[in-house]
Amino acid sequence: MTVRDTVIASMAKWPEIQEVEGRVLVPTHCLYPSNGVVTVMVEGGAASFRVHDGGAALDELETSGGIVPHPISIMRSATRRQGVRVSDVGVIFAPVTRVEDLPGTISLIANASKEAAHRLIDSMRPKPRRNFRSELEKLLELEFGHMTLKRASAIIGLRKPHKFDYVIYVNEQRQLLLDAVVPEAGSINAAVVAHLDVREAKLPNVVQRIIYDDEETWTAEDLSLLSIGAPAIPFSSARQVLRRVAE
Amino acid sequence: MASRPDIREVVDAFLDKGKTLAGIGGWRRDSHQRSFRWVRPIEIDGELLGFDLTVKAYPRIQPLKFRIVLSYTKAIWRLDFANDAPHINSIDRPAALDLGPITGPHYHRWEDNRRFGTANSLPSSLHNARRLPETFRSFESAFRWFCGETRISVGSLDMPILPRPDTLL
Repeated sequence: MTVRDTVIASMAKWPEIQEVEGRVLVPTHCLYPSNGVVTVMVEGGAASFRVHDGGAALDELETSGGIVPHPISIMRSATRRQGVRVSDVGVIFAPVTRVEDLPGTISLIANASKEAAHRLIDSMRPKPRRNFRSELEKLLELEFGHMTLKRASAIIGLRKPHKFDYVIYVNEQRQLLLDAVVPEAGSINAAVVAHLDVREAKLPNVVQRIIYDDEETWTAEDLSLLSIGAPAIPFSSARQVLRRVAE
Repeated sequence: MASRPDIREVVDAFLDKGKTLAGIGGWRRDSHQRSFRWVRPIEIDGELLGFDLTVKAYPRIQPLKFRIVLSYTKAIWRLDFANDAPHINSIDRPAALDLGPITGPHYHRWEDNRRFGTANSLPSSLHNARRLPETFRSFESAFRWFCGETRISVGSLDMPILPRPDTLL
């Protein structure tokens, strides 16, 4: 057996082309950032085909837990050189392809999908929480000084105790419970769950607010969700609003 | 000034403890419309520290496809139940793992991918994976297995029901 034979036999173990629900799946030799094999999908008839990535590049970002504002724009920019297109739902596809162009188109889509995924992962934002929190802490220090306690002892809600990012003891009649949130599911859910539970406990002298980082992109749905927990305040207005509610 | 904790140790400690799911689960259509997402924050010692459990469902894709992701701003543990996404492991992998390719359902453990993180940042991608045992071939069995591996208690009301192709949200 020659080295060539050995390599051919070894390469035969690569995942095979398969057909699933009318789509032909072509595992290529490109890899996503997570080392997933870029698998191109081919649909169509005898003479013309639709070749696409099934949205896998965008999936790569979404399952990495990452946040990227305007991912479709990034994907379009990353794939422009290959002449492929990116749909509004994040599927990378080629215009209708003739049978003689199939191998080249599959290769182009695979590389475009890989490029797009790498660009998306590289564009993932570092945790925005740090600067936002630091700025908020400076503001609270300036406005309320020693009255502010960070992650103070738990406040008993209707169902369980919760810790809040900041507890401000304004006076005997007023205690402010504040949470700082960024547009991530974990951050939003944690604040809403805690505030809702404490609100339902109807504690006297307690004022609750959720402060959100309005330099980030928020969906209306997420902002509405925040308000279910407690009135939400954009960080840019926090100084005025907190002065008012502390009076 | 106190130094920041090594984020890898934060994850180690989190995984080591028993946890529960907080809040109420519900499916939301992903922003790009192709899939659905179910997210629950994870509670540990009475606190929500920013860890989430997410299930991503693809109701229009057959055969069954879903992903389960445990994240702390970035994914730290993930199960990919998919037949259309083979995986190759990194050259930098634990000795017990093959390079691959791995076809079919597989999972990315934190322990196999911790090496790609630093004291200040978690890995952007989980490069190393293992085949999912053949015994877990339904969503419910895979979900329960995932939660068992990551020490998350699953109560009777915690089990998500995957959306169907005609689900409207």
